[in-house]
Amino acid sequence: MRILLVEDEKDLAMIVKQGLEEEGYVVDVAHDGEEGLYMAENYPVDAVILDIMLPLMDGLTVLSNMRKKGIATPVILLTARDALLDKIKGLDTGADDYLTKPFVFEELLARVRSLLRRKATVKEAVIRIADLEINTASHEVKRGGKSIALSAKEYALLEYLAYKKNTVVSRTDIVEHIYHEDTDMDSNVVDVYINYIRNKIDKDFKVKLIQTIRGAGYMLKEE
Amino acid sequence: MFNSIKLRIVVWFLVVFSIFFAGIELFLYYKLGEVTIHLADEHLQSEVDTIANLMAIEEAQGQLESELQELAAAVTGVYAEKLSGHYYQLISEDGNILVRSPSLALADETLPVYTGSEQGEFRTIIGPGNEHMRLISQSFRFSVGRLTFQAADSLEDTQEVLSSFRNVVLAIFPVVFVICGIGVFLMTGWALKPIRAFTRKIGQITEKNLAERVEERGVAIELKPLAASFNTMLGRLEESFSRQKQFLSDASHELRTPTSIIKSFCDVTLGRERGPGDYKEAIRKIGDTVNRMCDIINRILVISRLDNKTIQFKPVRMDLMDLMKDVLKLIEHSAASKGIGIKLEGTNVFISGDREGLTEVFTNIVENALKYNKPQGRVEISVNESNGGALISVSDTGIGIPEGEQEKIFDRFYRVDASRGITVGSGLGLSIVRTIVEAHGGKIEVKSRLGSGTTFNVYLPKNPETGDAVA
Repeated sequence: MRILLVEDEKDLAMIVKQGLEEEGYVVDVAHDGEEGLYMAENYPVDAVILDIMLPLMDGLTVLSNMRKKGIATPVILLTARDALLDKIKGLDTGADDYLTKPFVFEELLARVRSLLRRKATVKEAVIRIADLEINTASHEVKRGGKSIALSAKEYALLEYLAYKKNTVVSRTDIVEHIYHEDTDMDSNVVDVYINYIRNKIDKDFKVKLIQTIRGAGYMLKEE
Repeated sequence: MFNSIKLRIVVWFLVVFSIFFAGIELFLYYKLGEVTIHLADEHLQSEVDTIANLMAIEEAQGQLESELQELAAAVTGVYAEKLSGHYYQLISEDGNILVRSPSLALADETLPVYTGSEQGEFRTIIGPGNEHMRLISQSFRFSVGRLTFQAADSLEDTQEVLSSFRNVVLAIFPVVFVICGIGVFLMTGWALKPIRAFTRKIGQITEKNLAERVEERGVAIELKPLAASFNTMLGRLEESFSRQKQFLSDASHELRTPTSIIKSFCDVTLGRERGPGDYKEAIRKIGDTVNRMCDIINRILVISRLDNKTIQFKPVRMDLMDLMKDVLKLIEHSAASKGIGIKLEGTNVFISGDREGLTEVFTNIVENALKYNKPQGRVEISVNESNGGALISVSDTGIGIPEGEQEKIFDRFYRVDASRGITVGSGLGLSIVRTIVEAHGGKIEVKSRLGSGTTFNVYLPKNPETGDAVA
């Protein structure tokens, strides 16, 4: 999943980006409102974490411009003020959630997950596909009751497929949402990772969940 | 006890009322006494004239002797009755009583003997029966010589009228006093009602609804200035309240950002096992952020002390050029590290000011000139006399300040564009600078062109007390 973080405090942006990346997210950072709006419009992001007090263009203006242009990406507003009016204004402008600084990082993660679920076909924190269980909060993956250890990138890929279960996901989609833009698009990195998780998830089981759709991409399918 | 307008009005009214009432009553009392005596005198005069006329007529007929006997023997009327209160007597030139009215003779009393003049003399005497009387003594010339007629009327009746008048007055005075007192008390209460209503209105205004005002229309004329000045005071209170609130909110906002940086570093770093290098880096970042917080907190303290005037400026005579050289010593290292050249020119200007405060002012301004400068930029500082004061000008070749934001830079917590890769401070520095400059009776101005540089001009009077040398 790809997240856009718009925050002018460099240190804060840096550590939040690090924390999110460690959770397996791809993170783009913008340091002012104009850059943030540009990235929200042009990058295939799944969620936006948007500070309200921003240089050049404040967060609420960024948000209303996004919504005017029909960009429905879920947005969490981040602010140092906890005035009720700010919250109401933010939610009315089209924000999906609201977090006051200073925040507990775990809470930010939980809210991001909740937003991503809202957009996906799956609404539970634990995604179940046949006997495969993916806990999006703890990143625990089980199949047939047995725990499976995955690296962060492997997990991110599996989770992305799980959120879009029973739908075909193209390689481009995967590259854009799971890997950073500086990843070489021509490389077969996606195929490599698909192979890794196939070995861990499907290899010992009769029913193969990860399917290759020729010329289109991959699909995590129940059955 | 007397600290009540109502009571004071009542007491004043009653004192004035009593004096006025007593005055009128005394005047009436004496006037009434005079009138009754005047009436008595007129009556006596006519009696005497009547007798004298009779005597003159009888004398002309040569029957004076018989007339005298007749006078002594009157048998009817008030003069015939013993001690009736109406008397007359006739006195010879040598003071002998020739004739007495029966009212006297029957009781064997006499009137005090005065040989009166021809015009007639009136006296108030104590007569027979110990009664107050009015006595006329008037002499007439007859063939037998000068005879004095004396007639007296009792004043007891008039005395009675006067005393009953006095009694009535004394009886009604307390009643009128009490009724008027109560009336004035009630009226004052009614008249002071607007004050109570006003008080109630004022009482309803708390820090929660400071925006409310006392309605000036419909307020009694006497209370209008009070309402107006009360509203002015409310306005000032509201302004300072909202300034305080804004300051508090800004201060907490400023502290929230570094707090959230520290918190995020802790949360993320402790989120998983890491190598010593990661922990070291995290602790270093947290340390930097704590330093930033300390700086903000110190500046907030300075601001609040400047606001409360708990910082006392101690003006001493000093040379601004000398001060500026000291300031440059403090920051030459950081200027050199950025490759920024600083040029100082001008003359020695002696003023009276607080050395510590002004050092803070110019350190801040020059630091800003470095901070917002371009690499390899320049800072030009000049110290000169101007309009009998001092003009210090600090120009940089930095990024400049957008037109609309130039006045706002002196606002607390205001920062121009934090996005351009510039480390920014607490947003309090220039606010402190302006407060100190203004405390010296001076002023600070900014001129800036976006992209080409900023100039700060500080005018300081030679003597902060007079402040009249400000350009």
